[in-house]
Amino acid sequence: MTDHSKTEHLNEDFLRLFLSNESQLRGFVRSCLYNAGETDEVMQEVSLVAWRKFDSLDDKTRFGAWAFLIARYEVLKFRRKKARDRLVLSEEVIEKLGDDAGNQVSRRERQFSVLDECLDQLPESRSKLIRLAYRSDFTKKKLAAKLGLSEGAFYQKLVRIRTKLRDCMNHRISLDPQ
Amino acid sequence: MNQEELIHAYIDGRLSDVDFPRFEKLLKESAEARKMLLDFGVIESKLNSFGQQEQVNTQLNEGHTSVTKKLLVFAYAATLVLLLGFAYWLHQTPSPIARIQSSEGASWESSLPTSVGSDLVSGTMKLQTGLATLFMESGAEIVLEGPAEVELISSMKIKLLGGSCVVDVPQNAIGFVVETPHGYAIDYGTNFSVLVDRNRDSSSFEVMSGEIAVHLPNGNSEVRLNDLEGAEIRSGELLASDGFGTKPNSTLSAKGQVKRVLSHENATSVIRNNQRDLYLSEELLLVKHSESLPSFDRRAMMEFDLKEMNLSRVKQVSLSLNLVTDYPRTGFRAYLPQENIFAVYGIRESWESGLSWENAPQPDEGELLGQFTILRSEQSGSFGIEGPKLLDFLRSGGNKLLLVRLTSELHPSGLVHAFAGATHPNSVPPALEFTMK
Repeated sequence: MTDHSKTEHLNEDFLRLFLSNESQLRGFVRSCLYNAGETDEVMQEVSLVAWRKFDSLDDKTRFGAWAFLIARYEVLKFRRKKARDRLVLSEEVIEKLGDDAGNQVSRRERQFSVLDECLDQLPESRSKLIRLAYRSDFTKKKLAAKLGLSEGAFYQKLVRIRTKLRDCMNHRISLDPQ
Repeated sequence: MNQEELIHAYIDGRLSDVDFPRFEKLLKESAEARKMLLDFGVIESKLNSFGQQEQVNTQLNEGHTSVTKKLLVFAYAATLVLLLGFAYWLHQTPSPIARIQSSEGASWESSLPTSVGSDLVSGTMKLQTGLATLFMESGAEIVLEGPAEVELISSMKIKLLGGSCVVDVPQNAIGFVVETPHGYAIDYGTNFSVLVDRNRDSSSFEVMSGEIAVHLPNGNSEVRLNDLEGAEIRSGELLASDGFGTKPNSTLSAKGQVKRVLSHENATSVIRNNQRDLYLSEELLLVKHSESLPSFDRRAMMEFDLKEMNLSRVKQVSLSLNLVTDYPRTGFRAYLPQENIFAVYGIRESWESGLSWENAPQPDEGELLGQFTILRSEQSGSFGIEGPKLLDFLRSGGNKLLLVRLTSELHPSGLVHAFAGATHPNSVPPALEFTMK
């Protein structure tokens, strides 16, 4: 194999593996950060570091766990940078979240695999609300006003939908414990 | 709030400073709570991509790009392409100055990344066909119309080498510069277009609304353009025109003209503990007042060069300062009162760089010219004073101002207010804005 085509293969492998783990990594990163908007920033770093070091990962079947360590490290690094910001979780808590997330990889995989079905089951009005609420070009405050809801009532709706989704997701994976 | 409510409040970004320690303790002690948070992390991750998809769909359906839409989200597919793109620009280390916000039928010839969502560093891009919207770090938005070639110089400056673009500049990016091979335009808060015609060897500028100043490359000649006015530079000459036509219209109206003078050099801050290296930045004007921990108090000074201004023709004047968020030791906004009052004093004493708190001009040596308020919820924007006192002070030969915060923080570690200084890389320095008679 020429060097060039070897590199191409590596790139393809990397993309495939990274994409199949991306949502899960993102979920973990999101849990550790107060500001949703910072998730992308950390994920960029995670993808870049993983890509740079991919060559050194001998056993590619371990990609998930390996990428997880990188994500955890990047969250801690980011956290140090933001240590003086408001509402930054302590390193201890992030380590604990990292341990738990690392031990629950298959649970999260299964959650992701059933979540689409749970989303499909949402009534249209709720589905619409959630689509709007998670657009990054609307602030939730503006959206609440647009929908004629108080902020409190709006958040209550979001809470109910998310709780419903979590119940549905966990119910489904309990039916099929693998 | 119960456990679950705390987690939801955290996810929604509406957890209060008071509840945060409880939330953190909960996560530390309860494996069940961590599990719940991680479950919701799965849902958040999914819903965010759901929302992004919705956003992309809406934009596609609209079929055009709204100029006010600032935030862009990486379309999922674009992220993948980008993965390899990141490596390219991160190896180069310069920080991004713009981002490709959207593109419609765009085909590029460029060494910079060209997919939607790409961050761009300085460099040249050639748009062969279609339309592309660039969102500059400074807030300016540029719609390029292919074929066009543009050089990104900084978040406050581009050079259009060929073709045309429309520029929309918000208040906080006033001073944005578009260069062409024939001259340049400085924006004063506006929407304007530029056309570089290589065959004709000319550059044309047209203002939709607002004001720009068009200059020849040497900076000597200047034409101010207001709503629906245009100018052309050709053969080293700057001529007024009606929009992109060539009809000469040399009597540009000067009525209600606004002139702006920026504090370009002499602007600085002082700190009570005099540890300038640690707590001050040359790019920023830092202001703070604390009754409980005064050693970190800061005040700022700025000087304006008004030699070119004919103050007798001025009807009105205002001072505008741009609040920015890039000071790293910024402190907590929660520790500020809701309303923070600032005072601007006119001072006559000069100062030297690197000066101490004690030797710098003091408020009681100056005259109070006005006050303004910044709510603690406000993170950026333009603030300042106006009125006859400021104008009288300037007319009497004064050209130096002192800025202090009158209200104290409520607890130590409250926010330090940072305004763009004379050399801020992507925000406009302090400005005096004159409305002429």
